[in-house]
Amino acid sequence: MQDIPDDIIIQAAQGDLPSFEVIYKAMAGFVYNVSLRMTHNTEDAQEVTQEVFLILYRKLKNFRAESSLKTWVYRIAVNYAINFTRKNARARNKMSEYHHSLTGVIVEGEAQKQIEKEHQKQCVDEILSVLNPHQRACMVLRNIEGLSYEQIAETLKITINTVRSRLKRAREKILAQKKQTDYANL
Amino acid sequence: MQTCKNIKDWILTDFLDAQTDPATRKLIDSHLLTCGDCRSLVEDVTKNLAAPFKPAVREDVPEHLWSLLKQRIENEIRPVVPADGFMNRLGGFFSFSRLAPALGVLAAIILFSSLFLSHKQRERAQEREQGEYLAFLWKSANSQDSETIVSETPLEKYFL
Repeated sequence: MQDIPDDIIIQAAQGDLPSFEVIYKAMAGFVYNVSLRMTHNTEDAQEVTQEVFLILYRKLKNFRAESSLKTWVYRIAVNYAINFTRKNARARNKMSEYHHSLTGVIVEGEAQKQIEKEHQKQCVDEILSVLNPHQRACMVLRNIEGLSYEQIAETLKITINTVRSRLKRAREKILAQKKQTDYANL
Repeated sequence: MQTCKNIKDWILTDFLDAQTDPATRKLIDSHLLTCGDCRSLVEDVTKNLAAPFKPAVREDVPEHLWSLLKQRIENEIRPVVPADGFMNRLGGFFSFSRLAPALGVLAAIILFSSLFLSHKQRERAQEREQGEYLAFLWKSANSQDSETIVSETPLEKYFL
């Protein structure tokens, strides 16, 4: 995500919509993808993304340059997505429906590649689905968004050791789940 | 000498995320040469934790999302349109929806005050009737005394 010039931030904070669009275009990818991985559902992800940017638009005038705009946006997005996920348990049920719809479909060429890509995304969703919202947030920020431990700690307002601990527990849980599934399939 | 538990913790975090410093990395590598369990864990995490996230799994933001958001922001910031003229504003001020609650309160006040006043009037009328009755009793008692005195016969006078 590119850095946004200060004058754009100031104008957006004063309510200038074209300036706000610049901020949106720079950050929507992050917000949408985090929302998508947290909710496992495109409609919910779109709803979360809209709500996050509405909050940003309203609160931008209160933004202090103590932390970067990027970190501030990350924090709002992740916290909103975590709260949304907690309130909407239905997110977990969506995946299996989708997974079953893919089973048994044999397609060749480009369509086959597309199916494989979708299947791969589905695998990631299944991996993340066994985690609690806090662990999931850490995994998404690290494994999908590629943030460093330090950036994750800053975004979530936690220590680096807490980031480590959450990632470790999340990964242990994923491996345990995998072993359980493999054993059941024997 | 690092225990397997410490090494496993590193494998699941810093090692997998390529966040280890060179000294720790060297330590882990030398441990892996001698420990089959930890080597197996590295294979496990590479296959089940790293590989699924390797390809680009980021999704494009739907195009229409900005339009929806823009619409919501515009609705939120749209200023309240004032009425055209003084008469319109006056009409708006005295509209039924604005006056209805005030009229309701006023009607309730009138009803309660009329009930209260009629109750007071009834009380006063009762007091007046009682006063008149007492006055009548007093008067009749006095008149009875005078009658007794007047009606004394000579025989009664003698015995009394």
